[in-house]
Amino acid sequence: MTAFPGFDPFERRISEAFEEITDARRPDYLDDILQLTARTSQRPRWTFPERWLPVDLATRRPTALMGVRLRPMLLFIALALVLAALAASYVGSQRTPLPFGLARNGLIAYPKDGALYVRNALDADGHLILRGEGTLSSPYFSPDGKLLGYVQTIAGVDHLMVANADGSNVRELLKMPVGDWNAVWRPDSRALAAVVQANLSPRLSIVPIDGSAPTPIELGSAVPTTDLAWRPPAGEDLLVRGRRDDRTVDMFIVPGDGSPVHALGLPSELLFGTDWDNSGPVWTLDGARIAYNRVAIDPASGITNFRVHIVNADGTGDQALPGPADPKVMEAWPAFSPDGRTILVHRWTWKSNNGGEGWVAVLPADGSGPARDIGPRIPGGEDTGLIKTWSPDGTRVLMRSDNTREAFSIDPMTGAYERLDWTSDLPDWQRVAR
Amino acid sequence: MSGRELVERAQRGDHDAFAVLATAASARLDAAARLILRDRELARDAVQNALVRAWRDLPGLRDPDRFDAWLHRLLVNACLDEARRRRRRPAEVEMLSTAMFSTAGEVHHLADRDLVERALGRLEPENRALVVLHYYLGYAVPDAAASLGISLPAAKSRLHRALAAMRHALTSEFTPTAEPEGGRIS
Repeated sequence: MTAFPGFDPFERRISEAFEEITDARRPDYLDDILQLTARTSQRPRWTFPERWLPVDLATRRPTALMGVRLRPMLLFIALALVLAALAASYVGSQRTPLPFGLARNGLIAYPKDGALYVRNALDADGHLILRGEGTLSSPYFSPDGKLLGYVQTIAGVDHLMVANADGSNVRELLKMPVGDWNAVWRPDSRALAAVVQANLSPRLSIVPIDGSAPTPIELGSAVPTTDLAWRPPAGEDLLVRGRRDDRTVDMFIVPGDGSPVHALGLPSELLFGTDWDNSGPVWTLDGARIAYNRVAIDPASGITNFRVHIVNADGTGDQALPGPADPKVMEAWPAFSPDGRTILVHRWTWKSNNGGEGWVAVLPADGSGPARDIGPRIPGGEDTGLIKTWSPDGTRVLMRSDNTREAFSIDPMTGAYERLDWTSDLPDWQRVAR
Repeated sequence: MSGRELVERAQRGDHDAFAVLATAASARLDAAARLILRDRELARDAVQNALVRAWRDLPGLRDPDRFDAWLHRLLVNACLDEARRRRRRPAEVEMLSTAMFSTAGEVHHLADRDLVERALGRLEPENRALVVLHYYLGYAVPDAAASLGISLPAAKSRLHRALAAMRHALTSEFTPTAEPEGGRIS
């Protein structure tokens, strides 16, 4: 029997058994603990002597202080405390929001009459922020809320632009050839991941906003689609949906550390062609799992339908979330609420089914129950072209219908909604630190 | 945003940043605590104590890159505190039913798991913590020793004894069953 030095199969067996015994997953009591820590004060930094003293000095009896005069020492400490308070106040005023999770609602940006406007709240007055040659559309704040990406269409050609959130310092990042494209802010707000057409083939690249050259990313033998999602919480890995030569579609993870791109190995039956298999991927807030659209045949009714599935980041543990009881109702395009507890989904019935309708619904992210319908019903089935987003504080859902050219604000708790009479496009909400 | 930036923000009082860090670490913390304490409720208490202390004392952490190691150290100490404080209760680590597995290989694997779990249960909490730090959380022995506040020779000696005890428990409990007469089931 050959044995390698330092390698004991028994020890490896222990490690493997531990992994299986524990079945590590996010504990359901974590939210309770976080509520507790949120109510707990941190110890001020200056109360940790070991921060600036070697540990042996910090733990040694303070005999050296015995001969020191007390009043100058107290004055020095008081001065240090005042300076610390001033520094803390400055740091607090400079805070930027985290790229993922809950944030405060900031400005609302929206296109109107070919220009871009902002307003402080849904019921506040709007004011012009950007105007230019051609038509400006699709405003999209960077995760830190300091920049605004948008599209400027001149003579039928789309240009990807970026400006400061106040409309200053406008610059062009990319000129888009004809065809599908998508660009998603990197969580550090210093670049975007973009899929654009080049020589009739989609190309994925990371486009820095400082004007330096984009970095192309290859998925091996697969070509990228426009589904892109950065992985929380660090935001360094990028999830890309890609199509292989045999037309099957899978998800690929591009690691931020430069290690090789790898596929999740999801099944792809092409029941509705390549456009929809494993589409619409979004990460859970902890970056451990991915919710996405699965097209499959319902075994009971024989109907091919869309359902939302959730899978571990390594492609294992795939499971369907509780879908609509009626197999004729489709459910897809998940979007996690900022606190990660709720999933917003798009539901529809086909036009062939009495004209069809489209609407949105919310369901618990832990899959403990089916979705609850909210907001208005839009006629037109699969042609409603619904798009939707959450407010950064998670208290509102914004929805836009393409075929009726209407935008709505919806209360996700009650389902009550109102039509936004100041825009017909989907607004974007700026994230502000809480 | 890097892990270091998150830690630095949490050190400045940003609870959202701390929530991100805690969420990312929570599955591993909970699992390690269950292995050390062999009781879900005690594990929950230990994780809670570790995270509350982590939030409270985070401004004092000198090197943000050592956050994970520091948090694991807090957890191990919280587990040992729980083990000392509470009277021993029966283990509640869930076992899967063998009916869920279909092949002989999977059943054998399950038996392996069960035996390892039981062998771990025979160790003292301090030694379980050492085993979990090394074999589950992946710490090198010197780092595990530092986490437990014991010397490197003591850690090596304890680990050797713990491993021997587990090996003994496994070999004495696991007696392979004879293959059924007439060949294997196909």
